[in-house]
Amino acid sequence: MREGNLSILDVQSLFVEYPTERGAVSAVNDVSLKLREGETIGLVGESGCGKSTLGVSLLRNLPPPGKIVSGRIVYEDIDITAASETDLQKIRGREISIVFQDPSATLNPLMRVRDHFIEFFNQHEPTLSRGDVVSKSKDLLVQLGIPPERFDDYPHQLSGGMKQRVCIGLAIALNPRILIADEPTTALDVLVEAQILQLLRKLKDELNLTMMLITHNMGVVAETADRIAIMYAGKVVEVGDTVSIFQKPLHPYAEALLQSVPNPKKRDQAVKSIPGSPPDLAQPPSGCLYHPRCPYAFDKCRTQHPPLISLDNERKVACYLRGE
Amino acid sequence: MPDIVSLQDAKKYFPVQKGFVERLLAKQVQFVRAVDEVSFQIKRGEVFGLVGESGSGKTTTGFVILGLFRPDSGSVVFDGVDMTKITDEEFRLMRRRMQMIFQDPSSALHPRMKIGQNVMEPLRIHGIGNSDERRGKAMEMLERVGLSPAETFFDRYPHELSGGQKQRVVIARALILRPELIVADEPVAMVDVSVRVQILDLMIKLKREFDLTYVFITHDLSAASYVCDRIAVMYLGRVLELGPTDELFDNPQHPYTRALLAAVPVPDPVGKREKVLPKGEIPSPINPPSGCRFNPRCLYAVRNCSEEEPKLEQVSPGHYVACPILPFRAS
Repeated sequence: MREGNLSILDVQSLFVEYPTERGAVSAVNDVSLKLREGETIGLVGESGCGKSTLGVSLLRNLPPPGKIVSGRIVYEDIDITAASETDLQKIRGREISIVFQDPSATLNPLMRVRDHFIEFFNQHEPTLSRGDVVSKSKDLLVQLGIPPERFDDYPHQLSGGMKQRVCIGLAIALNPRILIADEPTTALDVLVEAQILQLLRKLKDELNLTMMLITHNMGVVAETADRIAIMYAGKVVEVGDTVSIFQKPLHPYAEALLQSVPNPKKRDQAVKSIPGSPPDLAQPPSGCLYHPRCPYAFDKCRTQHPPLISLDNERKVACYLRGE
Repeated sequence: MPDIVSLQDAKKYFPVQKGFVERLLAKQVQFVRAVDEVSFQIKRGEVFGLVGESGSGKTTTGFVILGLFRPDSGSVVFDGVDMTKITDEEFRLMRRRMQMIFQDPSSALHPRMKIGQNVMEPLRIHGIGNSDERRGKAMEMLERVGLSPAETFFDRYPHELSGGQKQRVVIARALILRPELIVADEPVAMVDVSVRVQILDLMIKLKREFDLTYVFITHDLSAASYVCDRIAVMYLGRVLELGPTDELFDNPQHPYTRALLAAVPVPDPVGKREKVLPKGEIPSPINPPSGCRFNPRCLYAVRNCSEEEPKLEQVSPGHYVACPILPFRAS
């Protein structure tokens, strides 16, 4: 369904801040992004760029003291930023669901796998009988490739990959339409990572999910995402389909990021590091937030924020080199 | 080039802590076989990669090389000296010649010591120079790792630095004693993606300037392919394949190596297709499978694989594989 242009979730100039002793930090800084029905969109950036904050904001699950300052997140005519808690409870898990990086931190160490499912269904589907819950959960486990006998295990008895499968099971238990996967494989070994990515791709097709894959790994997005949004210092700097971004990145940061990843299959390909490090968001640089590291920066970049402009071919880029 | 490190059948087992009742019942002690009869030689001046998943024994092997763990059996020879047979005093002098770079720079640096103090600490411990000389050496080393001008970093605390800068401080501290061998355990795993190649490039530059030999421990095959001259692939305490980086990546022989290489996410969306992956996950090193340790997950295993443990055999110059079937041998 990657041609489908119907937007299912619409983020409109979202601002999210964390107050700190040194002033407010804009973790998400004027982000607008549409999720199209049935696509996998990769949200890419390095630590601290705001990608996880954006992910949890979509469910309004921000850890305090973070708060959504302005903007809208529209899902099915509901503005998630303004919805009541009751309305949100109907969306979380049932419409939009999330899988986190560290399954050990997501699962309750004192609860068996079965109890996680029972609690989850009691919360969301209180009318289901206990027998139904158990059989439904076991079906889910099989679908996820977990032997049913692990149903009575505690999280510490499971391997990392197995735990992540349980978390994915809980996330898809109510057949949501959107799955946010926040670095779902970062805590896992390379073979297990590949297995989990395979599983996510399979589930996406079987359940007709729209997926937002948050990751810092360019290899993972290249293999999984239909479209990519690249974030830097709280802003989306480039959006486009995966193949065109990899073939011709337009934003200097996107270009540098792609050149900074060694490709083990093409070892003669030049690898270039990006000078400097990401900015301190409590004291952001003036103008374009990337200008201190950008080799092409000119005067305008140092004083003005480049807006995200639409190009042909559904590309968007926030850089004065590319127009305006 | 002569060998700087030589491991011969090195073995390191850890007893599994048992509960009170089990001890009363006097059940047999079990062991985690972290490193199980590992042999290889590291040439002076090379970057030797130890690659594997968590639980493969790569970090323990690094510790055995440094003498931080004494092997239960087998030998570890550093520059002609058997590390298992020396006194503590001799060992202390030896320690200057080999240093370690850790994964997490935030926990490797003392948070309440200034950058300069952190870097000078090894000199102080080994009683080298007076305070002025130590300061001068630390300043010089900060410049060499790219923290320039050094005066602006010397009196700051680790928390004031970015992750990449902290890792540079860790590298400076490792180099201040002018060691010959550096064991780097996942040196870029905790560093921002955009800064990783910076750190790897720095390590390569310093290797040339200081005539270093690196043992590069990583689970990240992309990073390994970028810096290593030779790579040993470990699985459950064993080396399954060892060879020059290009040979290993272009002509992998062991089914496990091939699976690992296939699993690496490749930053190239053109021509992506589903991968054939081995089932399951790395089993517990307490009771590793009999025979070849990879056989329960191997797509090519035959009956004999679960009976006899294969030894490393040379398949082409410098390329060793522990697999009797060699399903991928080019004929």
